[in-house]
Amino acid sequence: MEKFSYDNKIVKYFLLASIIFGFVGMLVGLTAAFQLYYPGLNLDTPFTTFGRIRPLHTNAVIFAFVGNAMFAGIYYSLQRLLKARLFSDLLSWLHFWGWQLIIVAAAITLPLGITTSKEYAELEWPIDIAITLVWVVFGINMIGTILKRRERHMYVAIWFYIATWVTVAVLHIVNSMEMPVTLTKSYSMFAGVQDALVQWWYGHNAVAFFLTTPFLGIMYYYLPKAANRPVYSYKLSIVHFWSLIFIYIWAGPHHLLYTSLPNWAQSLGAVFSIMLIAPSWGGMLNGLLTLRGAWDRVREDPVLKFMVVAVTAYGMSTFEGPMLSLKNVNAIAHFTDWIIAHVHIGGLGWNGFLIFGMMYWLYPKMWGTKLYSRQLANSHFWIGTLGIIIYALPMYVAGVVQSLMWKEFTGEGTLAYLNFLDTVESIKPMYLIRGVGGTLYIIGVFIMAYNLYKTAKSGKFLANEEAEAPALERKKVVGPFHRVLESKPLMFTVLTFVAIMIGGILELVPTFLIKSNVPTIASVQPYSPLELHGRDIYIREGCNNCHSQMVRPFRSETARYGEYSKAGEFVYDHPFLWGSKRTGPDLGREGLINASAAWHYDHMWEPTNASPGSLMPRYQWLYSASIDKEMTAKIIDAMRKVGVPYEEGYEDRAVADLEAQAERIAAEIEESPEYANIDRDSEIIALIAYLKRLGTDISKEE
Amino acid sequence: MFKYYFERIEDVEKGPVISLLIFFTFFIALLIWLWRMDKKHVDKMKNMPLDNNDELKLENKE
Repeated sequence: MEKFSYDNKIVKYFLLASIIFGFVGMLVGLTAAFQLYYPGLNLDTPFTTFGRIRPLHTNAVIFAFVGNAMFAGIYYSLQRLLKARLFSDLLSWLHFWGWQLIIVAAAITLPLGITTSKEYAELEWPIDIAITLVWVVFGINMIGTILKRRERHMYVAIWFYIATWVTVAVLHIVNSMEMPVTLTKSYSMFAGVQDALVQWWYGHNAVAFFLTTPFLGIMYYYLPKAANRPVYSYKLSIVHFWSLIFIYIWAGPHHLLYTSLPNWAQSLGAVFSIMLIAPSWGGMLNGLLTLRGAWDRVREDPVLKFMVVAVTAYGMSTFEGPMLSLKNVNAIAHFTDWIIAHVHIGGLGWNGFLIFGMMYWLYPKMWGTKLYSRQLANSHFWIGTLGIIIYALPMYVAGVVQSLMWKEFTGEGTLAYLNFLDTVESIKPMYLIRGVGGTLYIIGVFIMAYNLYKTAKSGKFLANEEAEAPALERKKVVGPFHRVLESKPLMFTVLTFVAIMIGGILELVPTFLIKSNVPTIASVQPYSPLELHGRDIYIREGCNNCHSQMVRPFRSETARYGEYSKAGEFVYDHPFLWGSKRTGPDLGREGLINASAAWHYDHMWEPTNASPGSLMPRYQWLYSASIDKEMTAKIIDAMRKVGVPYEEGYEDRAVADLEAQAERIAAEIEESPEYANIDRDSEIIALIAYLKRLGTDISKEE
Repeated sequence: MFKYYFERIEDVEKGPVISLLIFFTFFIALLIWLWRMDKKHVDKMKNMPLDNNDELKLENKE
């Protein structure tokens, strides 16, 4: 027998970080939610405007709240399943503080508008490098622990942890390929269609391998623990593990249905998304059936209550996801609040409730005491559940109502709601109710924090839990393949890698072979220097969080926005800015729809002037801030490095071109009597230059 | 030259088919292994999280 101890302290720290950052992330989300009802809550400062805090919310809840809880859940269960202390205390703490530093860096840079614009990958390149390093530390620590284990076979939870680590590493590296311009600015190596495919291959699998696989692992450990009975079917867990990781990696293109992505890739994404129902529901059923014969305990035990709702929410959103991947359903749901409802069933229900269940179980264990108040935990459960329902239902209603309004035609064959704002007005009350749901959910978390604090106070924290187990003797495992595999972690890791790379390579590589200028549109030209500055401002302010740039080939969209978007129009878009939500109208053809510079100049100062009832915040700081013309040459140079064909030496003439274009736009605005002496260097002029360019190249063809 | 790449994209539908075949074969092989799996081993694996729990262990029969 060897004596050793389990490290509980690292688990405690990750749990604390999860609760603290969970509060922050959710409060930011709540603010963003209410901003859609009261635009005044944008506070007229750049740092608190929706376009900047929406990414702050998503990053905080995904990587800080869920991420920290995931590390806590993994580190606690990993040690016990392997009968070994974590590989290295130093690596554990490097992992912890490194991750918190990244979160702090995100919390500072995102409100400052330092962003790549790619969803859930908004952080700029120095932070991307830091994430890679911390992820490697986490990997060494985990694999190291597995290698020094005292248990020959790896339980199913650990496979999920390994798959998480391998896949997130691959996704993060590929999607973060970018060309630095300065310390805080970079351009994606990929452009247009390719960038979109890589981004959503990443985005979808961030959901799959950051929010799903680690939590399935956590479910497979904590649910049997809490129910005190083994998992329903171990064989089912093997089947659904391999199917899940193999199929998930293909499903990304369902985020791009009806866009300019090649059709074969869209179909591929849809087919694999439908197939995903099987392994997802395999996992859900395995979780729920584990409670077979123990349902009476679910009535009493708050831990089990949270877990049952979590697993049920998992089942619901993994049924809804494939349904949303059907092209005809997607045609209605995409770009609407339906998707917001969908992700919050997953986020609040599956991740949130599983984390709460795990916390209610871990705190009494690690502090060697009983839960302070079962009644408070039950209150949290009911308030939280109600919160999810009141959050999601209005969003479903809003999504469907708005989408049907977008698509409605009058008897004469014109759009029934030609003014986009009419469709916004009709769903505004839903935004308010959603905010109430979110508030309830946060109140629940607050109750939990109090309950856990009191629990900890009533016990004594066990930083190092003594344990003993016989050393693992070296012997060759013989027998059926999977049994051997369970004892060979490195081979297991390699096989997991192979399984996810098959999908990744076969899906991504062909799209790269369609070289950027292949479905050529001769009239599509690189952006002018002023437009590039404007595009940077568009990215900085996070305009893509509310405005898409992708006119889909539907009659309702071509009637509203003009000719549908073509792949060839985006070949110089580093990064692509198609967006994923239309809180405001599509801007893909803005240059044709709204060519008046004066209109934009007036609109951005006070959106409700031009569009009464608009939810758009004011952007008045753009009128006083100037663009940095020192940067122009660097921007051109970086763009050329990622493949945009500016001729050699163009950077020397770029500023002259920029000033000439700014002069033209300012002069155009000054034609209207109420404007005079407009600052030619102001950011608003650059932004207007970009907006006036959007979608216009294609019509130059004739 | 790019045209060459573009034309080769015709072959692209073979990729997913190959992949589906790989997955299907793997899946069938997996089912066979599982079917042949030792019952005692399965029970041992199932009970792993409960190992250091001295409370009553309940069986969840498959």
